[in-house]
Amino acid sequence: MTPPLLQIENLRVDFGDRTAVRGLSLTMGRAQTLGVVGESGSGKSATSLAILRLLPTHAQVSGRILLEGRDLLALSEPDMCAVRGGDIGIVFQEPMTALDPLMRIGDQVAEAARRRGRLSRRDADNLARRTLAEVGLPPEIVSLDRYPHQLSGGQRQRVAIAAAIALAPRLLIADEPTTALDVTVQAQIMALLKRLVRERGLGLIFISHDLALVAEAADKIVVMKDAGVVAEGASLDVLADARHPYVQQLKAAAALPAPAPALITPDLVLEAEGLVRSYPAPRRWLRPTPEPFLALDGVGVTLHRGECLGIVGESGSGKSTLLRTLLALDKPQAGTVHLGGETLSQSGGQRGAGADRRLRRRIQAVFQDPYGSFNPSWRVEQLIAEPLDLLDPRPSAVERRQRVATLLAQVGLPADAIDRSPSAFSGGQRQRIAIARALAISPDIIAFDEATAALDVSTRAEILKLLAELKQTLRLSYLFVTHDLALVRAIADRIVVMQAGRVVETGRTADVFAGPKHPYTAKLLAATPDLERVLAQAQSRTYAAG
Amino acid sequence: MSQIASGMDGAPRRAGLRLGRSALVWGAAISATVAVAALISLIWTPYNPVAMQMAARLTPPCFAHPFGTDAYGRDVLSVVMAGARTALAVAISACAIGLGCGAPLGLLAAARKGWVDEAVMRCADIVFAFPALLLAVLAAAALGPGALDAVIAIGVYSIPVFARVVRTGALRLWSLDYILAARMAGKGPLRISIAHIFPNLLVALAVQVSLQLSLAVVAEAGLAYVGLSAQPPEPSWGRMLAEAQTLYMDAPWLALFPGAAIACAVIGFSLLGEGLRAHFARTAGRG
Repeated sequence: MTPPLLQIENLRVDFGDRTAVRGLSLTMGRAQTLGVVGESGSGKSATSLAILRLLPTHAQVSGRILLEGRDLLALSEPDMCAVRGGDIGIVFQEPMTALDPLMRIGDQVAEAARRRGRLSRRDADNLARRTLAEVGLPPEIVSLDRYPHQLSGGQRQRVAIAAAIALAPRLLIADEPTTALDVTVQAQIMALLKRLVRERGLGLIFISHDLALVAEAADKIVVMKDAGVVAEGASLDVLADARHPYVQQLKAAAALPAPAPALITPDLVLEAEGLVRSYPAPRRWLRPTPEPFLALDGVGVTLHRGECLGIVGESGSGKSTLLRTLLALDKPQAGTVHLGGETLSQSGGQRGAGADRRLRRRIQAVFQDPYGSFNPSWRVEQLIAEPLDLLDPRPSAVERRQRVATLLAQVGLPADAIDRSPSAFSGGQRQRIAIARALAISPDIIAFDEATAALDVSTRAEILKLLAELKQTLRLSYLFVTHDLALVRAIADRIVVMQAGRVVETGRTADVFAGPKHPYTAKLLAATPDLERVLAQAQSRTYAAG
Repeated sequence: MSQIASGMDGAPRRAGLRLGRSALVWGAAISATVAVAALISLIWTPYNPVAMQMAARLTPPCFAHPFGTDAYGRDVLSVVMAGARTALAVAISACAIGLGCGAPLGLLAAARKGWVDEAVMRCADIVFAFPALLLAVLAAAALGPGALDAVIAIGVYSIPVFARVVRTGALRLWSLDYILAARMAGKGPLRISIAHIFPNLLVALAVQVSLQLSLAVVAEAGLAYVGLSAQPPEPSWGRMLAEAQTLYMDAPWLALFPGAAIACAVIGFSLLGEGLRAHFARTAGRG
């Protein structure tokens, strides 16, 4: 009897007194996809690094990891080097940093093969060409002489996959391979991975935080939490089985309820028309001046009091530029922004600092990165009180402290947080601090720029709940910029879909999701992984078979 | 996840840490010794460093004169101690000029970007293109020879160094979300630079100041050696070396002790800088 492709017995990984993986056992066969799901810190990445023996030297690893019967933990380091890239390939999350920026992509793909020697330059190039063609980058489209910075994110991830499979490994580990990509590109990469499993018969370990994505791709899943396995089995069984409370909890957090009916009044708090913003394209020596890049091409949006407007689009669609323009962080070349009766963003003429200050009393923002959003040398009190300088007259020190204390209570943080440094808080707590800061001067509108993108699903669900409560009690309006359609469905009353600097579709959220009018919206919706859809499809297949 | 990621390079980094910690301790100890010697020389030296005693000229190191005496019978230990004063005064003043002018220029370049940035950085390149010696000669011609020439020459030279360090650090900080938040709070480029950018660059500046101090000590010694810094009778390590040159076969201690003093100061400040860098990298990694 041939041994299974991969068998892990009682794997345990400790970093000093912290346990990263606690007694993990699993078996997977050839041409199978094993999904590993869990939130950050659950031990899923430590597991994949343990299989490759890439953990730092101070990690203590015990147990057995058998690849076709060979115990990887017992191999010598030179033998293990042959296993990495030879028998096991790996694709990491960030295509930007996983490739060497100074190396031709052809060389990167064939690097492992050449390092093993006995491969001429020409053979290596042939191998690279063949492998790149297999991942959908034939030499007619992308030559071997390109460098990573000349490729898009999706193309880079394809190159990383080609490099991982160039030596025909039997096992491929993909650690969050699509997290940094747009949904339509994500769908393409997932299709590629599925095809490789089917055609090459390789085993795929697919690590992700996204339950829907894993449900769609994996035959078997392992759900991890706090360094241990909480559920495993055939994907659909595990997801449908109510006996795994944590899985159900993840499902609930990922599913996101539809927004509660909002009290939207007809008065407009924000109205923008005909916004144009272009960036000069980089000029090249002795070439004609290139056309400027139009980030916004005549965009208009409206926002009513009490409403949440979702602004959706993929990277490069202009959604972030639109937000920066509405926040007066960037000046448009044409168009106007009316905010609560004032016209503030006029094309041509210079806007005064006074106008910007008036605008900022009405609109505040929460940004994407919970770790970059705070001056690390300030305390929470200073951080949250910073926008209070916008008020006339400026509040006294006592008033500031009182206001911050009220705000902390409003966003659900303990009162003793006030004198702590931002480094003492987790990602979700930091976003609460950022929300408190945005609320400090009681603005009409809060803009969120991918504000939950860096959070785990359960943390995200809590933040969304908080936002819904605040919106209702404080009668706020939200601008919610995101690439995540599932998220926007859960929070937005109305959405604007952007593509290449234009608004292609706008309408009430439910209407757009039920019947998208523009083909691009339809494409986005189809590419977004949806757990309910996956489960429903699987069920109908089972009924058809039965 | 982040713990795993930062732990990836655990082994080499821990080795680096051990090195960094001892570099910090040794650097601080050596720098402090030099500074203490300079301070003590203000109130006490074994002998008057400028008093000549022709009877005791060229005495080799002995109990009465641990570092020996020079061709005029001056006690070398006393002159080395007093020389530390000159070396540190010149190095610290030069760094103050560099930091005082360079940091605002770097902040300005990063805050305004565009042509302001280009102009500041190209000016920095121009300063780098002139040898420091030329500047010192020019200053000597204009002001007459003296330690001030060395201060100006070395100080002007460190302006672009500090401007670049500050600009590089500031550009990184300007791209962070908390700068956007500060702009949303109505702060302009000046207030953002003062409240958010500069305080978060102090660590990088502390490192740069100690490295720059070590360079300034060497530069001062070099300028003094060719007569472009402190003039006699003001004691100076570089001039002691110059005076020892003709006698080093007969009285090697004349070159040995000032040379060792220069080496100590340079090594001390460099180690301190490297140690600080490693220390802050460690605390930043933890935060």
